[in-house]
Amino acid sequence: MSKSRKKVFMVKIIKYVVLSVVGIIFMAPLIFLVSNSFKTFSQIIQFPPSLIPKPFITTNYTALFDSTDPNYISFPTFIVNSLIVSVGVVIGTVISTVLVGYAFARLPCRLKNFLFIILLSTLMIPPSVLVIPIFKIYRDIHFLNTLKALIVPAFFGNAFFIFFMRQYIMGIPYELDEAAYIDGASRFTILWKILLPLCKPVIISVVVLEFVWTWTDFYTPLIYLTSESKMTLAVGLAMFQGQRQALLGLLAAATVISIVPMVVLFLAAQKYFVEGISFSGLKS
Amino acid sequence: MKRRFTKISSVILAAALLASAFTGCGSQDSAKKSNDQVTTIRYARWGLPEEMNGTKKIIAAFEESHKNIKVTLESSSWDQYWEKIQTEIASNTAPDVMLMDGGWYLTQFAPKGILADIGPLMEKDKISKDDYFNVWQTFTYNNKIYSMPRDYNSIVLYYNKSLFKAAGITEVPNGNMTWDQIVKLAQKLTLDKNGKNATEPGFDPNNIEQYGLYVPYDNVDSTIETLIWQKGGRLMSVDKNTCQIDSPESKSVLQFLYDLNYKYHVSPTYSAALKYGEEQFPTGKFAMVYQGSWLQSSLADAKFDWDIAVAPSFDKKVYCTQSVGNAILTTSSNQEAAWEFVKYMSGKEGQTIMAQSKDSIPVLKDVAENFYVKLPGNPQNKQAIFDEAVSSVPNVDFKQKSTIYDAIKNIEPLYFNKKATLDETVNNILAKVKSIQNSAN
Repeated sequence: MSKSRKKVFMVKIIKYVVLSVVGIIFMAPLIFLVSNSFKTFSQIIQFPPSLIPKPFITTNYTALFDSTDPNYISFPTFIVNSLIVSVGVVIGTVISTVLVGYAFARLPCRLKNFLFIILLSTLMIPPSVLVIPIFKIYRDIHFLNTLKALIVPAFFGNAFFIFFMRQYIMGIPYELDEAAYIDGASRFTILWKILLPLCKPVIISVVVLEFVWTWTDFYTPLIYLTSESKMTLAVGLAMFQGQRQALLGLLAAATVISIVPMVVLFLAAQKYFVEGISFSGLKS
Repeated sequence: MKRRFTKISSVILAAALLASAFTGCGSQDSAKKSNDQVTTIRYARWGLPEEMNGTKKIIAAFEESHKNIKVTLESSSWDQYWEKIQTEIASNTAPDVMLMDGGWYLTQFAPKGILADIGPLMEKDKISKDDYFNVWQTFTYNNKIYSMPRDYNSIVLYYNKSLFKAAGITEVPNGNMTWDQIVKLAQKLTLDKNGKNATEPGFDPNNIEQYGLYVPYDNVDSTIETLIWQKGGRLMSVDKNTCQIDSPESKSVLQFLYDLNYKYHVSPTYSAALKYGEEQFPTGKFAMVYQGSWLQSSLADAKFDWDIAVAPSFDKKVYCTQSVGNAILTTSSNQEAAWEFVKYMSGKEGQTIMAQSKDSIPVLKDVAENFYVKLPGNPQNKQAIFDEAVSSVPNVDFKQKSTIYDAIKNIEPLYFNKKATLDETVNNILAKVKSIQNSAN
């Protein structure tokens, strides 16, 4: 008995050691990023690199918000733009994917499977192929250089998340729908009152994933936005990267600030997120 | 059946409504524009925040003196710029004026007829080429000028005055030195971990703490091509069809760069140098570095004293100078306003504002020689940057240039890392260049 307990203890220790080592390896870039954001430029480029900033400076952070600084970019505007876009896209994606995912999972329709295959096949089209046609459409409907170009498409569905949502809803027992139907509930009431509460984990996963993807999306804002006042953070950060040199200190500070919302959101939604991804919320 | 039809038609109706709502607000925008008296032009450029803020100051001054023109600045970072411009050109939403790196990108734009020939405009406004440093070749394609030069750069020799002082060396680099003289100086400034320099017996080349000299091995245009010119050779033939990396002159340059590391021990190895990126000199561990004048902004918080000198030479005094210009797009419907703005940026007012904000070096001789060189602060010897303009390697774009130069850059480490002999490396490069040229034809 005590021998097996000892063994369990040893296994636990080994597990923790391995996990800590791997954890440190994964944390290292982040720790360096934070430490770099408090260093002077000459210390950042020092080789071998050191972890402790000396001297410890905060000007990298203050310069981001000081419009008189020679290296000022409209950083606060970028944050606001990124928030508007990310929140807008998340709302759009959730509304559209819940509705379409529900339809694919539950509604009877003759061509349903065919339509679903068409939907999935859009995932296979490389996004770069679509850039010029979409660009031309946006130009004609005057979406270029407006945040609409980034937000509105989210309200028209997202093949990946529709698939995600459909699979999850299909896993919910149909008997629940039937019971409600017998009690006189409409399709919409079933979705709203019965399915949505059960879909909480998957919706939160969609929220987290879509928020992070939109927040870090570089390509879309780069192509469709032109003026600095409309730029989002991901593209704004690249402005610190020049043709030949980079403002490493400012870049590090700006990056630290830019990852805060993602970390906060992830921590808040962690419990549901893991559940939603692993589909462990299915009760049948 | 009927019910389904009404459902479908209602969806279509709703979509149409939505679409009309969007187009509705769009057309309002354009209507507003045409009613105004003011012309708005769009100016696209890449650059660091510092350069953007400098440009904003120029735009503000321009708008002040040209009340009927407004300029919108569209900024991107260098990596994104070219892809973005090409997408915009393809979809007819190109800006009116764009920043042009003529030495590397002109042949991607000029042959397509999308850049305006500014020669006649210069003639009309009596702007002389001689008022500017001789960078015009960079912007010339088929005898037509496609950009107005905006700034100027040259590759100079940076030296760390503090390290010279610490070593007790009073002879500092001056523009008349040869590479051999510089190497001799560098040997005295290369220190191992016991503090011995490279000329002393017992010097340990495996544990060097401070390097005497660094000449970037991987800069094909500024290092390799320029040094070959100094030897009297060429990297590419006059018609740009043949790579001459196998000429005795070219090979002696590669040999020289190799010797800096393995024979004189004054430079880090190819791979050791890469860990510093382009920032060797600001670390303070290099006594002399051959690098572009753009490095100055990285030295703002340097803890040592430094200055620059005209680059060393071999047999001929030929230097690497570069310029970036502003081009007007033929698709622009505001050609006159665009030219006014381009002219202003390259004119005395624009160049002075640019020199003042210190983000770029002026290319207009008047401002460079009477204003920029007198600005306070390091480097003291700002004149060295302009002295190199007297004789420089023409920085001209040609078909496949960047692919060919990248191939050279990617293959040469074989030699510098001792993976292949000089001849093997050179033949390898020639074969690669051939295949690049064949695939393009």
